[in-house]
Amino acid sequence: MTDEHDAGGVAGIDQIRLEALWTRFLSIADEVGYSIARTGFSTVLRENHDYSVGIFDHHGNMLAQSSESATGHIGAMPYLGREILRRFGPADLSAGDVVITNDPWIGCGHNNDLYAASPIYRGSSFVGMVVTSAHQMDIGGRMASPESRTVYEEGLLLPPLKMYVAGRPRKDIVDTIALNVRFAEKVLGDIRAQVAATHVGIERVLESMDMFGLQTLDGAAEAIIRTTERQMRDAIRTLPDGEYAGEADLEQRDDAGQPLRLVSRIVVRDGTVAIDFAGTSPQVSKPINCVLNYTRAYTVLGVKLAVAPFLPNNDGSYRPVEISAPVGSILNARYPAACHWRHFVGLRIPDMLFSAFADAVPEKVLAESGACPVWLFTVAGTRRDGRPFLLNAHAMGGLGARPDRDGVSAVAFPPNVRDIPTEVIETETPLIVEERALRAGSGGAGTTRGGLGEEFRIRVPADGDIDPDRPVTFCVYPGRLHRAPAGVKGGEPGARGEVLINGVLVDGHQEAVLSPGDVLTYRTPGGGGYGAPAGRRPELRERDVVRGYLTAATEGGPG
Amino acid sequence: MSVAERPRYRIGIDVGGTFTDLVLVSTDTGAVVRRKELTTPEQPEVGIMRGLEDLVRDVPDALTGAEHIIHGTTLVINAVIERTGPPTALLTTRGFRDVLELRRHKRNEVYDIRGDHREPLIPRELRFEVSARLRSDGAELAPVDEDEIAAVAARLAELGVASVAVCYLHSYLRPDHERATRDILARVAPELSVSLSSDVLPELKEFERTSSTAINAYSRPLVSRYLTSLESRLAERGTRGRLLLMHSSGGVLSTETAKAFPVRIIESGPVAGVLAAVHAGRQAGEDDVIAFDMGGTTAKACVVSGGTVPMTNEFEVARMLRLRKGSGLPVGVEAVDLVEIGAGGGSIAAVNERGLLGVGPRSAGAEPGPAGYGRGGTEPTVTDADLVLGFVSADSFRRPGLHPDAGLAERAILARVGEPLGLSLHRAAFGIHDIVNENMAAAISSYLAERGVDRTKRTLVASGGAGPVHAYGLARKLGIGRVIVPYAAGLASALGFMVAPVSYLASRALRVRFDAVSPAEVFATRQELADEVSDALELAAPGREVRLHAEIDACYSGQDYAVPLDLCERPEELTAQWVRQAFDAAYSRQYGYTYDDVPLDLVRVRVRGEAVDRGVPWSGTAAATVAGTATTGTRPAYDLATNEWAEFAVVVGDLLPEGTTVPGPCIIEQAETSVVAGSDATVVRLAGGHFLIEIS
Repeated sequence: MTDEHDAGGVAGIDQIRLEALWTRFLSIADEVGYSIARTGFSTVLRENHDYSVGIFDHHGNMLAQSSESATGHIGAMPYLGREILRRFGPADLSAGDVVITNDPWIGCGHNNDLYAASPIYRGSSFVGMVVTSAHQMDIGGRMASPESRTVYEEGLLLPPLKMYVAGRPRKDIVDTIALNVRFAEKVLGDIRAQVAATHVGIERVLESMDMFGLQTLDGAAEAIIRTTERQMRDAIRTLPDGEYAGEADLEQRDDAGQPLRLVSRIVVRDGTVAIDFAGTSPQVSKPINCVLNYTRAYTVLGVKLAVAPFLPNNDGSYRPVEISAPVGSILNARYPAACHWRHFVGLRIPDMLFSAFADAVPEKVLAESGACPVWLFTVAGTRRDGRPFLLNAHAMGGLGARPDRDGVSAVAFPPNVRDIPTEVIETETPLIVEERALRAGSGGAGTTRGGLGEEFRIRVPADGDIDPDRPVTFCVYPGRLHRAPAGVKGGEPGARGEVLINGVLVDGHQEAVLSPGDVLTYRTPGGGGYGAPAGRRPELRERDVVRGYLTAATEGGPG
Repeated sequence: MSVAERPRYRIGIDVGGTFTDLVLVSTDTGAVVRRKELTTPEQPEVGIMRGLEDLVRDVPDALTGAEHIIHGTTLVINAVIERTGPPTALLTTRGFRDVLELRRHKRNEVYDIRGDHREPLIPRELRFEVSARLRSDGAELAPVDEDEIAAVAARLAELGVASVAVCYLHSYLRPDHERATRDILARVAPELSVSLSSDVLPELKEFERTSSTAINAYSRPLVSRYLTSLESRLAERGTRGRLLLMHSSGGVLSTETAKAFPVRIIESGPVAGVLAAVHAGRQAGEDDVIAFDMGGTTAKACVVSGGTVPMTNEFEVARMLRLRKGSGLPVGVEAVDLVEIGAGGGSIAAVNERGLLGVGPRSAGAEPGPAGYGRGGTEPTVTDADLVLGFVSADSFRRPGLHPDAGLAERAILARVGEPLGLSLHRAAFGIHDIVNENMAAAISSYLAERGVDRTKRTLVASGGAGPVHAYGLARKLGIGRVIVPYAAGLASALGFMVAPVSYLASRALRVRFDAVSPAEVFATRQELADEVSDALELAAPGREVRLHAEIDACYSGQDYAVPLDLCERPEELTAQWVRQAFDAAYSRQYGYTYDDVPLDLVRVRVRGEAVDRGVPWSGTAAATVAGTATTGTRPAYDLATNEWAEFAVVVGDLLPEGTTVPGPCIIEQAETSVVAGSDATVVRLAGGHFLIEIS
């Protein structure tokens, strides 16, 4: 007796085979990612895991991404894949070629984020691509300066170009990069790790195609993407149809002196979301502008976090979401806008969407998070022997309270990057970390409490291996210094962020020069609370007191 | 007492969640006697002694004549998961008491905002900061303050804390501050159990080191009490052989070491399973195998090359549901490098977030178990699918308290996946079996590829209750043609103990450019470590000849992942050229390329030691001499080779004579599992009681 075929297949692939194929491609993407972490040279890859991986079919459709993915990188990748193939047709590529680019308008709006795309050939036919992205520890220019006014100041720009031809690196390109960046050894090492990882991916994709008897990736890609799109639409249907409005105050002013804000009008209809950012502030001459790809990345992410967290991300998750932002606005900046710190703006989008949906679907959202935006910062200087040092790290705020539980304290969100251990910081730089601790009292009170921020204190030692005659510069673009992360449904706001030098509050949005002996302190914001503080269970309050999560001031009231 | 003059047995005791397995092997004949006893979770030694008394009824000199009693226990891992340890404190550098709680900033899943981290083992109110401080080069920024430590000790006494972890920044390079702290505590609070991070895991990265030290401190009082009690009960029964504990890196160690470093015995069960697989492979003439174990909740796989079990320093326990890297509590202490997958007989099938048929990682566990067990489970599991496909029979899991019923399995599959997805019963059951195999194949392929292993040249060795049932389908997916199912596949752990050597490992982290390394210093470190290892081995195996092996870990300067190199014999061989050659060979084996222009760092020196042991190879053949007809008939089952139903020959494994070949499709029924082979395969009974599936 022959077994019957099942209903419900997609694109000619029955659903059992589809699940198997899909699992395999996700696993390959993960493997490529781990390979980057193992072979990278900078702490950005080794410790932070600031990279991502995508697998594409030959049309440039993304069918799988790694589960450890920098959300900005991966969010822009579907657009990047198609753009690379628009510029390099199959006739222009051959096996062993690797195309790289860090063009912010093709990638995710940040010169440091460099993509490497390797075509997959099955015999002589081009069947797809493996793409990796990685945040380079340096890309030249003024480094991370908040003073940059145009993208030219932010370092080397590489349009899509072949760095490898038939498996061999082009010396002219390698030399160009080496001449433009600080820490060239590490940067080139990281790019090599990225490229080698794409080859791991190619081998594994080809092997899996043999195993599953696939001649091309088209059918599998179509089945995966269409299924994802269907599931994404079903998930969006859990949001009531209608119009929603979201706004965010960015605590900065535009070039005309007006408050900088994000404005959105969201229309949910029959499994689709259309988000229009009309009314959002114009692009500015500060390095905080978002390219459209970055805006897309965090808009889709916001929707997905609320309705479909475990649905794998690929082209299909983007199709039901329509995004428009006025050209020339801070969410769709024109070349040559400066954009290094764009996450200061873009990472507010998911929070803004949650607030917009809070009344309609309170069970799907969180209170605002202190980690939006992430406090990325750099401390750079020179050792006594003239070698430069650079710390490129993050401090994290608290996650907003959730409907049924407290927010997580000091946690990466929305991008999911790791910290750099203190022992590694102190081994690789002459800096001394004096404290990394939970910031008591910073979580917004509520029925469930916002996560705590952290206190991160760094000393530039007077007697360390630092050339006292050269400046130690420090850059950060912290958020929530003035507007605290709000609570929802009666929850209270989390604590605002603070930046201090030698115990004195400073405006965090300027490059600062530190002297030996100076102490830099961050107090990151806490998450907002959820629900009225009076509704908090007494045993949770008691636990918070025992653990020292509250301060004397916050212990007094309910919460 | 004449029978006790010469030790004649080794006894293995594996205490699991439900059962305590006991195995006695004669060191003269290799004959095996097995016992199964219910585990007594409150006091595992009670169940053990009951099982031993039962053994003594058959083998009167079992205890007096035992050379070793080798024990694997899940006590440490259970204490960590169930949080049954006593209040434990942490002493750490000022400013860093929240290291355990801040973890590494990372969430467990990119898109999940609902997930939480595991609670730290040591709560915030029991984490104390002290002023002693080192710089990254080991220079002292602030000394140890005796009064301050004494004040903390007094506070710990008030709080009733019996065990403390001491973890200071940079102590892996310079342990002096931690040792001074221990000495002060020994004076002012002699009853306090003190675990130093520089002893437990002398490695860079404070979160991972603190986590490992916390696990050690947390489980230490429990392990101490338990082992002391077990030792005294054994002594009362006249046991003269030593009690040895299975450790996570594939050997056994003394009770003294286990009491001081319980974190070293945390992963003993899976390790013993791997050793049993190695042994079965070796008996069948295969040294390059993939050990695969599939139980009720998870599956595990481990690649073994040339009989050597691989090790990792990135082991984690208590990972969250999806078993993501980074979601558990790190145990940096060396452990067998295996991959764990959320796939077992109890894994639940359901419509997943993709709208497709998904299997796991949720599991029906032992309670209620698969729907077909008849204990109230309504969600279909892998075992239910295997039942519907004819791979296992309802009779095979007839045990007290179970009411096996294939109808219940069928109904659960139809209701939860068949109807919602438009699949027939048989198609849905096939889907569950196939997808769980694919989940395992995908994870194992990645694991092997990350380690540069060509899987098609390997033999799969399958154990665990569900392993032999799924091995054939899994092997087909992996492109593997040979599968060995070891003798007594369900007792793999307890048998693995028999071949575990007395072993110990010590290492010291360094981080220096190779061009700045003094060979004399490396060899001096090697000697210190060798002394430490020899001392530990002497405790476990007094007077036995010791075999030492020294390695160095090297990496490209700037990278984080080091590769181990066998250390040369003499200091004068340790030249730049030697290092580069050895490193290039090892690195390119793993990654396929090397960099000529990147300098190398020396990351650590490591010494492993083993007490030389003749080993006790057990034999399953004695059990296979019972007369009778092996083949009992046929039953319909699903043939993965043709995707059609077929009549499978059904054979009783224990009755199958050595050297007999059974053509597929067939099912070989064993005590706790079935070996399944489709029409493109044959099954051969090998010497030693093992089975070999060959797929054409």
